[in-house]
Amino acid sequence: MKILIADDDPVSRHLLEKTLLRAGYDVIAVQNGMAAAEQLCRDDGPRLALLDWEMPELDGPGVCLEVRKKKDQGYVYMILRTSKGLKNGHRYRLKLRCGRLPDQTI
Amino acid sequence: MNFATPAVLNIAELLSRVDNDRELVSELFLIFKSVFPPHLQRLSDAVANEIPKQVESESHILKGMLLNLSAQRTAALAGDLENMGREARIAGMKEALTAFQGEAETLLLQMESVELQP
Repeated sequence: MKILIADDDPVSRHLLEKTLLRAGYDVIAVQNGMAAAEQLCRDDGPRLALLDWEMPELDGPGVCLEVRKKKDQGYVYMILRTSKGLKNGHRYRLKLRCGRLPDQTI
Repeated sequence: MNFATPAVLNIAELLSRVDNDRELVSELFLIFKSVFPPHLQRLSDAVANEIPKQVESESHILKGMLLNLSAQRTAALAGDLENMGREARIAGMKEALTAFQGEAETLLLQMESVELQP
């Protein structure tokens, strides 16, 4: 299974990449949102992504929006990661962009 | 290093989180040591020039890295700067930066002192 990691923090990216590789996954690691959206919109792109919320060029919610615009592909599961506390406004905007949102962040 | 002593770097927790993969921790330290100086420089410039948005963004990136390295004390100081930047609180920002720099220096020294070879 192929998983995409998008994070502009090289420490976090390396940590996640090594952890997932060790668990037996194929990993594509990119450092900005544009590269993430490009990979996820490919027909043979990953169907699971771990996205940093804040990234240069295109942020995590922006990646969600770009991927959801593309209708003719399988569902892409995207997990947004952030060390920031989410306020209601953030959650509402994310729901508008992504369509689905769990009740609680992890 | 004495693991029982509260330290800037919680190496025991970090090793536990990566299944005791010392090679990975060594790689993470190398990455951090290479990217930290330019981030610190940009943060210092932002504080000196009183650009809260840049203080917020640089501190946020540093905080994320530090949390991943189990450097909670230094991460908390980066978090203080992030909050000050978000709230555009210029007063006290230079002092907060000085505190962060001091803690970061100690952290870098502790990284050097950790024995990671099997």
